[in-house]
Amino acid sequence: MISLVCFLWLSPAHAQERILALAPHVCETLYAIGAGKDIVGTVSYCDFPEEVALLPQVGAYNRINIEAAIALKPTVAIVMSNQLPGIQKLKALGVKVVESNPVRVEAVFADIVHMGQVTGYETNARFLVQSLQLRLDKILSIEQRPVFYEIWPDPLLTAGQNTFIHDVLKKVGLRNVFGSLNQEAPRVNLESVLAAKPQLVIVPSEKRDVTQRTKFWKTWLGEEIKVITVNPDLVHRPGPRLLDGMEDLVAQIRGLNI
Amino acid sequence: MVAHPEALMIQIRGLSVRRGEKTLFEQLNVDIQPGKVVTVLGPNGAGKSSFLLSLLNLITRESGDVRFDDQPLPELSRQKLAKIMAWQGDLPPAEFGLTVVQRLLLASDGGAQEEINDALAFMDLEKLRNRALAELSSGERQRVEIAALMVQDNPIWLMDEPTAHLDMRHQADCLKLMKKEAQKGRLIITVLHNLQQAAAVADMVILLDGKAGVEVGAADDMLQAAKLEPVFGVLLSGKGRDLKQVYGEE
Amino acid sequence: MSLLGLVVTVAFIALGLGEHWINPLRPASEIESMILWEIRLPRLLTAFAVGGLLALAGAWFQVLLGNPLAEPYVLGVAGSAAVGAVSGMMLFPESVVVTSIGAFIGAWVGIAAVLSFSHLGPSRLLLAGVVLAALWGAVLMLLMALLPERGVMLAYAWMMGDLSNSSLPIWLLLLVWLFALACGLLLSLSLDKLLLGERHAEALGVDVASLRTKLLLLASAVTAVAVTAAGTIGFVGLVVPHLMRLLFGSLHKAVLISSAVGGGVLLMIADTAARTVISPAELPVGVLTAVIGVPVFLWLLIRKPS
Repeated sequence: MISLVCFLWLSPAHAQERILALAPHVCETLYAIGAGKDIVGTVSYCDFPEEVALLPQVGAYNRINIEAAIALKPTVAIVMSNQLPGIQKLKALGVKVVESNPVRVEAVFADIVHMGQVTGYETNARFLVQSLQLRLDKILSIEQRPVFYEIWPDPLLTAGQNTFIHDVLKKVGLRNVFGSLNQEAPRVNLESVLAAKPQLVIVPSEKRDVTQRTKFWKTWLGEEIKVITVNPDLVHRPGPRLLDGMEDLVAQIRGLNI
Repeated sequence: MVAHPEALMIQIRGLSVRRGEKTLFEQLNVDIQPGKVVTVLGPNGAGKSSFLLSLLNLITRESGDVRFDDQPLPELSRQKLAKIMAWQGDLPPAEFGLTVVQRLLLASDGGAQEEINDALAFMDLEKLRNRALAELSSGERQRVEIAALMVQDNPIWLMDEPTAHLDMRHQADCLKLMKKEAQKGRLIITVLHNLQQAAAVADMVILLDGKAGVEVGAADDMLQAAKLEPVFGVLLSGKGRDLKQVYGEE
Repeated sequence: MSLLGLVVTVAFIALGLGEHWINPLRPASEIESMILWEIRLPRLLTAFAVGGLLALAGAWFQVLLGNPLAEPYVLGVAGSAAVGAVSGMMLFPESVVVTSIGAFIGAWVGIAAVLSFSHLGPSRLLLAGVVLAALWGAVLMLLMALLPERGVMLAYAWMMGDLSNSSLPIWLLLLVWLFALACGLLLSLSLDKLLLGERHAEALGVDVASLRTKLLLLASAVTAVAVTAAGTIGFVGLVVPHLMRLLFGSLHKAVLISSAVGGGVLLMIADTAARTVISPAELPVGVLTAVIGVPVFLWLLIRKPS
């Protein structure tokens, strides 16, 4: 967090942009590189850091209100997908549209730098990426402990191979037992999980009773199964807090001695 | 078949029936004895079918009093009415694949296997017994409806255009059936639009003139050119059993 | 009772099938035993009960509307149940119980809406139902537009049907199945007469207005239970009674018994396929009922022209 304070000190000389941050991870990254004060509009679920809540919201990550967006006189819009309805309209009105949707951990770093370039905070961005890279190097692992990642309990959903979380798990030495599936959030049945024999089950703390889920998995996978929980906001968002989430995950794994 | 069905007399006083805003007929008074064939005559829309339905309590009477052997109609439950009267109306829908035999089983409440066989034989339907109604011609389906009347074996038969769709031979059979059943004591009320057919079977005639008027009388009295020509707007010759329509040039 | 034999055979095979074959009579380990009795069997029983209920409801809606192509969902009951379920999801995303309560309430709201039109007679009732179904569809789209991303995916998952985790206890479902079949059999003679049209039925002694109301309530209650337990699974109510009529004739005693069992068997087969064909992933069972139901129906239709 000390590094964050340093960034805020380094106010670069540049033409100030008016930025639409149209995804939660975009908000977090922009604040982390000092561009937070240039944000004029966000979308729902942009909830970190606290100051973001004060900004006007113009929609969700997949649906925005063009009029509200235009009224904020943006110069740059950072979106998750160019296909977002209305984005072409923004482009036509002269707003610079930038896509940000990294699917791999390394891509996050390149993405942060790119955002820095677009908003005029490149130097800060590079500093941030440097420190994140150092932290990543310390926890990278080539192990392949089988893990089952429970995206949702009922129906039972897990992550497929082309997802961000799949890559995150891989980097910390965990092998997603359903990594062969191509869908984004395939429905699987309990029997398949049993057959896959995971050593670890990860239950994100989002909207479920983790104690109950732990009991459930112990019933089916035996008392020896390790069940841990993560904060989905940290590991699902391809932003600056990713390493916080990954370090926490690694610490939990090490603590389990599996 | 049953030789002597329960005799039942119908008494009607002041019957008026309405369809929507229009009064179809009013002040019908008649006593009908068992063993008689009553034909209901009148132009289209005069209310002939509605008359039959009002006896079944299936449409609302405007006013009037109908009794079966002194039992007023409103006091009779639907089940009781179904035991007293059998109704032959339009052909029932056939989308569900009912067969001839199944349709007759419904009329007899699942029993009377022997009566069903007799009726099938009489109406010339034996070869069609397991065919679906939808596969039959309209004449064949009409014969099934008449067979259903026979199977139900009720004291009163209400028939609405029973000869429709039938070829000449079966039309004649149908008329003969009516006379035969009446002789056995059944009370038959039938709507017929063919005056000659009516003349062949009627003991009594109820004439609805289509202008809310109604007249009742013995067949011989009613089946006369003077009475019928103004109502139907056609030329007739003869009277009673010999009543005939005159076609050809003026 | 060849039907019973069929059920037992299908059940046996379905129990054995899964991620890998387990002999139901001789599971190789305690884990296999657990899989059989605590994962597969409840699912199979749910499928049997729900399939039977949907088929019964289909048969009743068909005679009620005088149309052999009617279906439990044609009057909008499934749509309103979905609206109820999704509303529950919006208000209490963590709670499965609330979603189920929402589905049940939603189903009855739909039924009440339809009941208010029941005096119109079969063909206009059908039209009213179609319009209501469209209404619920529009409301559903509105709700989905307001849901966050994860919510939309879950709403779709619910709507496509899920037999793995019935929100109603299985003994209750089987009891309702039995009760529904018994009620239906009691009414079967009157139902048969109703096939002749309302007028003929009345002339044969049936109190049509009262029968219609009873039938509507029974069919709707059964649909509400099925949808609450397992989401909206289509085709079973349409195809099974029709198939049974082609095989066993149109009289209701035969149709109702064979539909209650046949619907159960169909859904057991569909669910087994849903959890095995793209193993380890699963297909939604609603997709399978369509894939199985339609070709079988077409084949029978071509074989026995009617």
